[in-house]
Order: sequence, then C-alpha cells, then structure tokens
Amino acid sequence: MKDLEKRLHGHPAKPVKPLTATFNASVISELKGKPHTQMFNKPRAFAQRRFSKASLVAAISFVVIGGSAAAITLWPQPTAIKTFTKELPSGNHIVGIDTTSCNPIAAVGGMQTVPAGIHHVYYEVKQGSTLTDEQVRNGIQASCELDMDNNTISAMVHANHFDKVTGMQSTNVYTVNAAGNDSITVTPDSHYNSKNYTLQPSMTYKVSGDVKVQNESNPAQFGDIKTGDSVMMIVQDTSGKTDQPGAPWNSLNHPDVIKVLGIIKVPALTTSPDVLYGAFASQIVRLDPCTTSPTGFCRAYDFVK
Amino acid sequence: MQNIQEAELITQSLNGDTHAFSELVDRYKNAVYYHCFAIVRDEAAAEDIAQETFVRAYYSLAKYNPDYRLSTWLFTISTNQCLSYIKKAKREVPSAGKLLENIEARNPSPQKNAEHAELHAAVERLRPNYRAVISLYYWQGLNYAEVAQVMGVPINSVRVWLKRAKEVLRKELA
Repeated sequence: MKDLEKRLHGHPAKPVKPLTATFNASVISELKGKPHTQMFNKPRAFAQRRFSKASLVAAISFVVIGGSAAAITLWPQPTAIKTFTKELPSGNHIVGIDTTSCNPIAAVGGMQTVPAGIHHVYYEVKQGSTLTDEQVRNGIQASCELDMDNNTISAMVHANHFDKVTGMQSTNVYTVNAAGNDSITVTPDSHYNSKNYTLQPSMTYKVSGDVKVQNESNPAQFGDIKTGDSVMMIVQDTSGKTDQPGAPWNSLNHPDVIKVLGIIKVPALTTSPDVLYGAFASQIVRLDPCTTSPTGFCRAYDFVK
Repeated sequence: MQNIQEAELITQSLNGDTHAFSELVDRYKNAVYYHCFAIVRDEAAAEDIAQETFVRAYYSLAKYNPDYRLSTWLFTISTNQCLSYIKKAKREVPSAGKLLENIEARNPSPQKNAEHAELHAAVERLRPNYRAVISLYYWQGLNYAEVAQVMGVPINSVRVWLKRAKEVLRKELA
C-alpha cells in the first residue's frame, strides 16, 4: 500500500512537450476581443487564512536549515519604513518604503528563508487619493507580519503532520477573549476589516487535551494561553461540507464541526492591511526602478481608467 | 492565500488589465496544463483546455472567492473542462504508446522507466474522474477538502474515489 502511495507521489504525469511560447499571447488575444463583463466588482480584499502546501515547502526548508523541528524559530519581526515621498509633475506622488525581514512582493509561498537585507518597494499614489502614505506603509507592514505568521504555522503543520488530516485549515490571527480548561473563545484581530470576512464576531471552540500548543516557536501548554493573547489556530473541519454556488461554507462559524489541532501564540498585528489592498489600481500602483523614465521609475501596471 | 502581489494582480485583472492577468497566467499555466494532461492524456488538447480555462477564469474572476487558493479555483474550471472534453469527444485516452515514449525519454534508468510506464499505463485506464482526483491529490498537492471543492462532490466521495482508484491500480500493478 505504501509502495503505491510512494509511486503515485513520486511519478506525476507530466507532458514532455512544454506549453507553446505563445500560450499567454493566445489567452490575452482572446480576452482583448471581448470586454470584461465584471469590471469593478472587487473581490473581498483579504483571504481567510488557509494553509497552503506551497507554504509547507517553505516551512520544510526552514526546518532543514534549522536542523530540527525544535530549532524552528519565529522570523524576526519585520519592519516597513517610509523612506521618501516625491511629487510628480502629474500631481501624483511616489512613496518609497524599505522593509526588513520581508520581501513584500515575493511570489506566494516562495519564501524559503528569512529575506535578507533591505527590500525597497515603491508606489505611485494618484492625485486626490484618500489613501495616506501611512496607510500605504501600514498595508506593507501588515502583509509582512502575515507572511511571518504563515511561515510559522506552516512549520507547525509540517512538524505534526497536520497536512495529512482531512479538512485541515488554519485561521487568521485571533485575539483570545477567554481560555477555559477545555475551550477557547476568540475574535478576529481588530486590525482586520470585519466587512471583508465571514467569521462571526466571537466564537468558542472546544479544546482537547491532545492539542499542540506553541508560544511562537517554543513548545507550550494550553494553560499558557491567556486572555488578550494573539493566536492562530490549526483546525479540522469534520463536517465534510464544501462551498456550494451562492452559499459559501465557513466551518469556523460552526464550532460543533471544528476540532482544534494546534494553537500558536503569535505577535498581534500592529496595523491593518485592508485599506491598501482595497486601493490597488484605483488609487495606487506599484513602481519598479527603470532607466527609461525621467523619474527613474516605471509603473508595474497602470491605473484603472 | 494571497500575498500582496497576487492581490494586486487580481484587482488589476478585475479592472480589465490584461497585462496583470498575463502575470497570473504565468504563475499557474504549467500546473493547469499538467493537470489537464493527467486527465485527457493528450498534450495538444491539454494546452487548448488550459487556454480555455484562463479565458473563462478572466471573465468569471469576480466570482472567485479569495477564501480559497486561486489555484484551487483554476483546477475547478479546468477539471470541468477536461471532463466535458472527454465526454464530448468520447475519448478514452488513446495515446498509451506515446505517453510511455514520453515517460521513457525523461527517465534514464531502465528500471525506473518500467516503473513509470507501468504506473501510468494503469492510471490511464482509470475512469476520468478517478484520474482527476489522483492528479489533484497526488500531483497537485490538494487536500481532500480542496479536491472535493474542485470536483463539486462531498469529501466522502473523494475518499471513496481515491480508495477505488487505488484498488484498481493495485490490481493492475500486482
């Protein structure tokens, strides 16, 4: 039985012929022929945190670097600092931000180690935008903090083989309202914009004696979790239900189907990511340094007309 | 789960920016192509279906629920496309010889060649929905809940399909 599992895992069906070089162009040419019918329907800005196997790859690498599961350490607290503002002739302005222990525009799940050095990111803010430079910085800071948390929870998932548990998922950052002998009551971190989430304001989940608990990277007991702490949880949805058209299923709103597998005490979010995420394209675009523009920066994409 | 860049790209795409959408295509096109190939077993058809997947995704992007990974949603679209293709064309994977040739070309060890060939010949003979769940679970790294979401069936069905698929494979490989 194990041999078959191993063979299946180890031998994916891959075509020999790579995709044709014109694949993207063919897709885009199809799109340009027809107008987009769903413009300006923005998605909910922030995702309910779900464990990603791509992140697991990052976590595994992190464990290997550390030498053992016990050597897993929380990433250093990332920082995002505004470095300059530059007015443009158009009336728009550029905001420069430097980050440490974070590469805010790295691909999803692509971080295998703590990003070294300082990363520079630049944004162009439209004239008349309601978005403040501080909100831009805050969005970058929050994104970095969430990346750090995700890497930590991925390490716990790997160390405890939770990825083999059917219906496993991880949560957003919660604030603990109460922690009893066998239950925990939580509410989403106040920095999330509640309009973007489907979680009820406060939920109580049962906690069994075999729950795995960490204080950041260190082993801990459930009794170490106190009111006011910030935590992320790894849970199992035992319902077997899935989203149906028009009726998204969020098992976290149904404590009776939730088994808490793991709890990690994490730093609280220091700021909100939501405002920045909601402003992309309409009020703010990312810039890359370039030599073809007199300003020294070129837009990674354009503003929405 | 999105990071800041993916959130930007999705927002841009929703606003009609095809350059941003092209970046999303770059990120996921190979995974979608491989998954389609695992089901339809025909490179040209897999590429066509992968293209159609991204076109449909673009026009349905507002319906995407960011509670879930974008890849899961793309696999949902592509799996439906692949199964429809097989149904319409009444194709039951004709290209065993070609597939084995391809596998042999990639694996230098004769013993490994034989193992690959044997396994994939057996997978090829599975029903299309079994091939789909094998691909999603073992090769695309989705968990049971995600596979259930992609296939639009209860988790228990996924469990049963995987179990039956493996029973068939065990018999074939015995």
